[in-house]
Amino acid sequence: MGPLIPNGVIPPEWNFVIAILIGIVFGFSLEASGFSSSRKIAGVFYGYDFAVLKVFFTAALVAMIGVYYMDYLELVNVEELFVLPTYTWSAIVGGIFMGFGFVVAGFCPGTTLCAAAIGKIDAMATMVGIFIGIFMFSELYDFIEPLFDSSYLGRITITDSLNISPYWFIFLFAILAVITFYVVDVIRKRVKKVFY
Amino acid sequence: MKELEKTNRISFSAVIIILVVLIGVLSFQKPNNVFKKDKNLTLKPIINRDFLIKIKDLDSARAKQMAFIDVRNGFEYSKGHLKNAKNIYTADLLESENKQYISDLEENEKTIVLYGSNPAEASGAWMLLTQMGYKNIKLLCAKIQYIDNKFSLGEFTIEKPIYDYAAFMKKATSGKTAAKKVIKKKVIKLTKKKKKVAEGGC
Amino acid sequence: MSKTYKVKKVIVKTEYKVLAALLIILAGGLVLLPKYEKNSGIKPEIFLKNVISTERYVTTDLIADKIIKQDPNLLLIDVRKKEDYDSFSLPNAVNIPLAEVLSSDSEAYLNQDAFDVVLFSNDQCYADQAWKLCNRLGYKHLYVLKGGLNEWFSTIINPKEPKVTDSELAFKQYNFRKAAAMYFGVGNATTTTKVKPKKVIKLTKKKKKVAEGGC
Repeated sequence: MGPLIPNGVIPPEWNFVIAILIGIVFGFSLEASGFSSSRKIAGVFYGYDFAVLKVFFTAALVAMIGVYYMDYLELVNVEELFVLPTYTWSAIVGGIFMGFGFVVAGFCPGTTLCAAAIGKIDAMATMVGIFIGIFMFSELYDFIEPLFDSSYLGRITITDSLNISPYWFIFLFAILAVITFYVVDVIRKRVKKVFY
Repeated sequence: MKELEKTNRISFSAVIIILVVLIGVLSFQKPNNVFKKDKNLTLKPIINRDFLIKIKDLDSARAKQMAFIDVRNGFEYSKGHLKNAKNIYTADLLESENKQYISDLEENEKTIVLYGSNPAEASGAWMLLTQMGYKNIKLLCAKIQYIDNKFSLGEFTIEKPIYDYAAFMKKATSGKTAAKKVIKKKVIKLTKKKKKVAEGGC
Repeated sequence: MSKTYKVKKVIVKTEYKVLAALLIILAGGLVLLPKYEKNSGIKPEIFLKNVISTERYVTTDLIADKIIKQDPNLLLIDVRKKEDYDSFSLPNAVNIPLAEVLSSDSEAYLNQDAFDVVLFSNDQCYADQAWKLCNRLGYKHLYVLKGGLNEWFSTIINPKEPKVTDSELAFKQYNFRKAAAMYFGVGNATTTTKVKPKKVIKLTKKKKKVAEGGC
């Protein structure tokens, strides 16, 4: 049956309507988790707040389990889902840049918009920065292109490259996630409490 | 007290998740008919051309191991058919009794020979069964003809050109070369369609 | 301190543990669920319907007309062997031998939305098989030239003259075929009467799919 739009269950015209609705819900959950505060995000790096890690880990886990149950019940075909293509080196370099910006600004691109929406000036400044970055990237594209296109690995997933059953991977991932939650809780208790 | 009200929501949603999964799993029915993933399952015999049974093979020793299935409709079948042939119209192939019949034959290690009024008619049925993983399915390479209203098999060669096209065209165009219009070869640039996917990312 | 309050308090204390256990149980359930074989490509039932339907066949007259009009949506694919293709083929045809129909290079031609692809071979047997191989993978916009090149030669290139008693339609068709044969380079045309162009079947194209996202 699914994915619904590529299989024509929902006409493609609905794409953007659905995107906006999902975007609103996504923004709401970011704000509800308190991610529009840059202190909360920076907390992961300093060890006084792991809400970001917990929320995203849980979201990934729930989505994984849900998608594979739906695949099992033939409601969605996992093989037809979009997998971002992997470019090893551009992912590493881009990741470093992104992580750097993450710590400096205390926002990820999504939370920037959230925080800007509730009127945080630093988030608005970050947004301007993002657009400057996009502009610079576009201008330098000819120069960056060799790196950008190099070491293409295709649309692979961890289960492809490790060659293990996705079901076992999900099970191990679930256990790993729960262990991580426990460990970060222990760390948080040891670090001096920060009030914000 | 406020903390406790939140609890209700959490346990409520947890119960709902469990219920949804349970109902889904319990009400799920496995698909009856399944195409195998291996794309070459049908292509290989086509390339090797070993999916065809010639008329002369029918008299050989192998013939004892053959079971015939007539894939024409019941009306055609009643007009005349091979001895020992069972009539399963192509459209009815997936009915459970017919599938049972075919898998029984497969278990008895029979070679299942499909035939229609010509090989092309039976090739759809052949491809369906082969792709579903049945082994030893063959196609009878013969056309059915009625001589004096009597059923008989005629030789049939698939993909036999009735003209030598190149020679024919040369002869036909000779002396009037101006008529031949050379159309510039269309250069078609096609990008491989990405697998239909729902894109997105964060 | 009511009883329900106590129960609630217990839930509060253990709620995260319960949720963690729930996730692990659900993930473990995936491992334990009995596996079954999944269908690949379109469903066999749908394939059977497509096979029985004659919708996939197009006549030589229609294709001749489309070639003459240089229909931009038409893409002819010759599924015969390379030698046969090199010695003769239809104008602008692309060669994909039957053995290579499923190779990744051919996929660009067969699995697309831009063209109406017409497969042909000597008779329609190979083309039909190629069509079936592709149809079960869910490729769309594929057609088979009815009768293949044999039919092409006996109708378009070398048409039979209708009898005097035949209908007007047969004569019209004959004239069209003669004219078409001349277009395809046959010099022995006796008549150049043009018939009215046939109505070109217009197929509605799928709309381009746009779905991009980002965070």
